[in-house]
Order: sequence, then C-alpha cells, then structure tokens
Amino acid sequence: MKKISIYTLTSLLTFFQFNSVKSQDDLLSLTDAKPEKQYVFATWKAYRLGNVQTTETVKKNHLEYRILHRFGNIADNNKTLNQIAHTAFGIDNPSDIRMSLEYGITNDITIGLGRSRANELVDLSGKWRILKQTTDFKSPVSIAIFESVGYTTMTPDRMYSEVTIKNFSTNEAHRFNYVTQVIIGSKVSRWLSVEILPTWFHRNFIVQKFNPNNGIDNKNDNFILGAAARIKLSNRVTFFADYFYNFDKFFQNNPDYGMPLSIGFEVETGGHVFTLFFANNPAIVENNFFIGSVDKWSKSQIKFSFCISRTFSLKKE
Amino acid sequence: MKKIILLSAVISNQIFSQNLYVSKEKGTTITFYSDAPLEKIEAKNYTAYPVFNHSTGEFQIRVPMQAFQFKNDLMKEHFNENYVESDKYPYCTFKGKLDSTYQFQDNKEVPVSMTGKMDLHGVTKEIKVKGTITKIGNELKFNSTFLLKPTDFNIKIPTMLTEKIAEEVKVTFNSTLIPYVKK
Repeated sequence: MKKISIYTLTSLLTFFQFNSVKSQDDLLSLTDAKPEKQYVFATWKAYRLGNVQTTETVKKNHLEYRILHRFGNIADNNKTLNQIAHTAFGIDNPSDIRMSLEYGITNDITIGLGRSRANELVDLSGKWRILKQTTDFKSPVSIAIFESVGYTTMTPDRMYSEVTIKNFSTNEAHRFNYVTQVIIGSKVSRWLSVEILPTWFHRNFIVQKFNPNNGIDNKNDNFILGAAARIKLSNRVTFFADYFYNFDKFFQNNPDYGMPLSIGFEVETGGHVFTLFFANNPAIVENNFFIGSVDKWSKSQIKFSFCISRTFSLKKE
Repeated sequence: MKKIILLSAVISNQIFSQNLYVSKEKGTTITFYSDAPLEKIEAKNYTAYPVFNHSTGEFQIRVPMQAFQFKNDLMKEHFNENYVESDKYPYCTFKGKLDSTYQFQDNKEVPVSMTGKMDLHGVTKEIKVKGTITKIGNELKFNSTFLLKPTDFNIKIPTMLTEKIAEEVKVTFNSTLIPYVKK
C-alpha cells in the first residue's frame, strides 16, 4: 500500500511537472482555430493608377472624391524650347481636368460618376470584383470587371465639326461610347503588383479616317490590351508604369496616334493618395484616350499629371 | 500497479484541465485608441482567444491583427499594410504570468498585475500591465487598460502624420473566460 502511494505521488509529480512545462508554450494550442482563408489586400494603393483602372474597389459605404489634372506638353520636338517655356512647360495649358466620385455599394462593387473637360464627357461607371486573390496563391489573381459609359455634352457644331457630308442626320445615340474591361491583377510580392486589362472599346459614332501608312480605316470597335505594374519603394511611395496597346491596325504605326503610356509615383498620406505621373495622352479618362492622341513619347510630347483622391467613410457605427 | 499509475495520471490531468480557462465565444474585446490632435482612431477586435492557467497564473493570448475593425476601412487597410505589416506578422502574441498569487472571491474585483512578453510586428518586448480580475460564478472577467508605444515595436510613424497618430496608443482589454472543457 505504501508502495502504491509513492507511485501515485511520483506519477502525480511527473504529471504536474510535465503539465507546467508543457503549458508554458502550449496554452494557446487549446484555442487553435483553423486559419481562415486570407485574402490579399492593398494590391494597389488606389482605384486607378496613371491611366489604368486597378483591381481595387472603394470600400463599402465609402465615398472617394478624385480630382485629376493633366497639363500641357513639357517638351515637344515640334516646338521650340522658347514656345514651351512660354507655357511654363505645360502648366499654363492644361489638356484635361477631371473630377469624379466613386461609391462602394459593397466591398466589391463600386459605382462612379465623373466629368472630364476633354470632349465635355460625363461618364457613369461600375467596377465589380468577381475574384479575390488569396495569400496562399490558391487563387493567384484578383479579377474585376469594369464598365464605363461615356456621354459627350458637346454642342452638335463641335461634335460634328469633322463631318463633311451635307445634311448629315444627327442622332442622340452618337454621343455614347462604352469601355468594357476585365482587369486581372496580382500582388506577386509585398513589393510588386502587376495587372493586365483586356479591353473592348465601342464608339457609336466615328468620323471615317484611314491610316496613311497602311490604308486601314478606323472602326467603331477596338480591342485593346492594357498592362500595368507597380513597385513599392516604401510603405507609402510606389513607382508605376502602365500602357495600352491597341490591336486595331488603324492605330498601329500611325503617325497621328500614340499609344497611351504613363510612368509615375504614388504617395499615400493616410486618407489621401497623390499620384504624380507623366503621360503622352492628353485625355485622362479611358472613354477619351482610347480614341487616340497625336502625342507620342518618341516626340517628347509628355505631360505632367496629378491625381488627388480623398476617401470619406459614410459607414454608420 | 499500472492501473493505479494510469488512474492517477487521469486524475492529475483532470485537476489541471479544471484550472484552465479559455475565452467565452465572442467574449473578448480588444480596443485600441489613438488620440492625436487631428484624428481620433479607434479599432476593435473580437476574435482573440486568451487562455489562463489558474494554478500557475500563466496567461497567453494571440490576436489576429487583420481582425481589427475600424470605422474607416481605408484606415484598416493602411493599419495592416503600412504599420503592423500583418502580411508578414499576422499575430500579436502576449505570454505572461500574474505577478503574485491572488485569491478570487465571487463578485469581487481583484486588482492584479501581470508581466510578460509581447510579440508585435516582429519585436518582442517585456511589458507589465495592470488590471482587474472578477470571479462571477465559474467565469473570470479580465479588464485591463494600458499604453503601448508604436515606436517600441519598430512601427514607424512618418513625421507628416504625427498630428494624426498618437505617440502612445491606449489598449483596452475586456474578456470573459470560462473553464476549459476538452472537446
């Protein structure tokens, strides 16, 4: 009997020691919940980069106000330095000004309304993120669908200024154009995010033109591929570039058209994101710059541009 | 003989598991509050599950950083992306021990102090927190408020944002713990 109690005591003691040693590290294992599927966040700093839309949406019940400004050419091979200097290197002749509001209906669906100076365009847009990238890369990309309907408020005189046909019948539908994009983006690492944007651009009204290099006419429908990348220089500063390539032969090798390319920096300061960049296309919004622009990087026709965005939370507690 | 050892092992195990307390489902709230001249920031987390060993006074908690809820969701994103970098450091853990043995009586608030190591943003620092523990029935209620300096955990605040983010962040911890039942 005595022997038994000693055994009991020792076993109790060993278990006491075992338990106290074990518990030092293992207390938390009692609560070990299965890790939930984690979604990648902050693939991009803002709703749009330079010229392109990103896979980011505005958060639910948040409102974003965005003001964009594009100045005139900083340099131009077709002009003398003196001419350029007289516009304070483009500061005095802005080529486009835009204001927009975007509202998050859900965390993945955003609607927006904007007005651009170029072509007096009013646009209504929507972005729907249908797939979110996960941290384990089981879903390696985020996919969003972007649709924008542009409506020009130009006077008929200005709108049909290039039309030479007599008694041309005007139509209200001519004022509309449509951008449909699929945005496929991925945060490859903490420092690098990339995306591609297959795009369909439709215009209800075009003035017939042809490319003098290959004789191909322009069309109402264009297929365009956009690509963008950004590198984080620090937690708050990024460097990015984006580009759109138009598959329509009319736009290729055309002396009158340059493909839109922008390169710049984003600076985030809490509620604001400042985007400072250089681009060749004078118009800011897709509905305008897909139409094409004369300016090209190869002719040094680059413009300084900035965007300031501010987010307001309309969320109720 | 073997049976007795086994029996005593089972008994001893039971004794110890009775002294373990875990958080009630949704019973834990962690709030942090930054009071800077230009902006007041508050965030709440309901997903942390602390564990308390009554017999040794040990207390451990792991807080998922991405579960902090802000009024402004952009702040949440910046909090995770720019400050605590929760993709690299997803959890804040605290492993501590009560400074002495306390007797808990029903419905009586007992002031306690606890010392332990907090691991946040990849930096481990020893901290001492004060609070109270109240025993209500078989539940233990933990309450504590303490200050943390982000710079102590290598969380840098840019000079231009010092008007918006406080140097010291007030952390409030409220938790109801119930005896642990092995599932």
